[in-house]
Amino acid sequence: MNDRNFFVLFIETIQGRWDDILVALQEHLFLSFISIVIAIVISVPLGIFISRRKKLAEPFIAISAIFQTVPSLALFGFLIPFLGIGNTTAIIALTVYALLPILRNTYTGITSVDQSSIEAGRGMGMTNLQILQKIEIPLSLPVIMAGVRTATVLTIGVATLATFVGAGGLGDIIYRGLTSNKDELVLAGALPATILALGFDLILKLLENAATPKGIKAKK
Amino acid sequence: MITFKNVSKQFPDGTTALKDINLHIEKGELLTLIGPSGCGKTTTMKMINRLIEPTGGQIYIDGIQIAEQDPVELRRSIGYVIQQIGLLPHMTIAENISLIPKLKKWEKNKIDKRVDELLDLVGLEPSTFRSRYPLELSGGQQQRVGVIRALAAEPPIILMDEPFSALDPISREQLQDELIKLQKEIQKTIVFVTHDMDEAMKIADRIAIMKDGEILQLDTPDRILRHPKNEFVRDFVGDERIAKGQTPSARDLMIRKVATVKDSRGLAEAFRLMKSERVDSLVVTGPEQVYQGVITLEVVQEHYEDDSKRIVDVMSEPEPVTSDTVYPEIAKRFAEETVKMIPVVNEKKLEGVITNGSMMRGLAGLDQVSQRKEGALNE
Repeated sequence: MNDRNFFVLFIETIQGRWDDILVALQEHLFLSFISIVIAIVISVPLGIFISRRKKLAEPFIAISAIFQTVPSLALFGFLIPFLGIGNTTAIIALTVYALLPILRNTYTGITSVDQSSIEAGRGMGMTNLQILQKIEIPLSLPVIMAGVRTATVLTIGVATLATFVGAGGLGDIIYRGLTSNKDELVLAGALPATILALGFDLILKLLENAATPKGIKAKK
Repeated sequence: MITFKNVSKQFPDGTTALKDINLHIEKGELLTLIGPSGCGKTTTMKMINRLIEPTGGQIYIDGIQIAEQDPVELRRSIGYVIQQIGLLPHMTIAENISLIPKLKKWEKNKIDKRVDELLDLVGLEPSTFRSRYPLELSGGQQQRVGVIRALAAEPPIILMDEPFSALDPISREQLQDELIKLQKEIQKTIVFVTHDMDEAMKIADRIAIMKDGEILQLDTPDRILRHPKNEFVRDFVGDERIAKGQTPSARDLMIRKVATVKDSRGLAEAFRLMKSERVDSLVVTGPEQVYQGVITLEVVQEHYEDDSKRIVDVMSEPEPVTSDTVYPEIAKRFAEETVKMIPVVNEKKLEGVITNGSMMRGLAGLDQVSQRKEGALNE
């Protein structure tokens, strides 16, 4: 197979399968997005909670770390007997994967806020909620956002496995390419997945910068 | 204004932080709590805004028991300044100052006016500093903001927890002076925790000396100096302060940080040292800091062209005194001889030097500075 042919073949595949790719891309985005949102909704409040009760922090982070250690394909496999196949199974597996980075960064971010700021706030008569809203969250937002970014890139990658539980996504195209021994088709699925991950990484990096308070970027 | 009645504090691990404290703080007075670390001074202060709750006794503010008040409301009526300053780094100076007025739902106009007024009060130009961030300010400037933030909502009481001890000595002096000036204008009831006796003596209306959870003596600085209640207070206040009535000796009058040069060096080296240390005379020492003589700028300039001359050849040798030599003898030496400085030695080793300036400062009871700073003072 010469390169020129492969390139032409690849372009033709993209053109021919354009609708399929778009559908798979939509599914992929849908799965990743829902999972990340659920992971944020669980991890951020949980991270704040365990930052208040440090004895609980270690076990919670350890549990989410164990989830993360289970090989991703195996995790999908574990869930099938209980949940069958479909979107729900994929979303649960992806969410479980995204928990750790967000949980850990939220915990680290909140606990590393300068204690003197908090003491000053409390001493001046701020309520716990005001301290959380006006001091702890703004100051730890960059760290939390970094966790979300890590989780997002990870999830977009792992979501290519959702095809094995019948949830679609770009993994479908890759898998079809593999079974029919068509490299150009594998690439037609892998390339959009990669671009998606890189794109989100960039967007979230910009968001992370925007979330860094101006006063902290300020130098003497 | 603030009354402690039989207040005690025992921590869960069984250690007793405070034993039966009785204390009355008058309206408009600046009271300092002082003592070695672990004496309970900070605990006492933090009980006033309920950051720490007592395990026994009651605390009253204006006759109302604070344990029955809402802690958040209570704290908003008490200013709080801490050693680590604790400005919020993500907010501008104006936002930091207006934090509590905003929580108290003041009108925006009133807040803006208040912020400018407060910045003016501590000599920070409002148009410049309003929109700056804390990290763009020096430590001294940050703590000025810390102090006015505590004043922002016009609380009658202000608590200050070693507010100046993390600052450099010059900023510290300045802020102490400003606090004294400020207090004359605002007449707040201030509870000031410190471990620095000089600071307490300088700013306090009354000083409470604490040790092991008890107040040993509560009195005006002057009465504490004159009548230390026991041995601990005497030690803590410092013998040299109490002994002020006695005749000062060389030890009190000398500068200890002296610019010295080794006797084996050449004149160029002496000249270079004088330039870098910004002094007009150096003490010449031999091995192990043994005193040899004094060399002045005039002499160095006079012999500078002759590069065969070493320091030992041109230095003068004023007779040294010991650190026990009393003031009248030293004054007599200055009056009768044309010396700029008199070296102080202990078994031939150089201890320090006495200059006209250091003698005056010693007599006035001021701290001695280094020789270099003294030069700067005289300029």
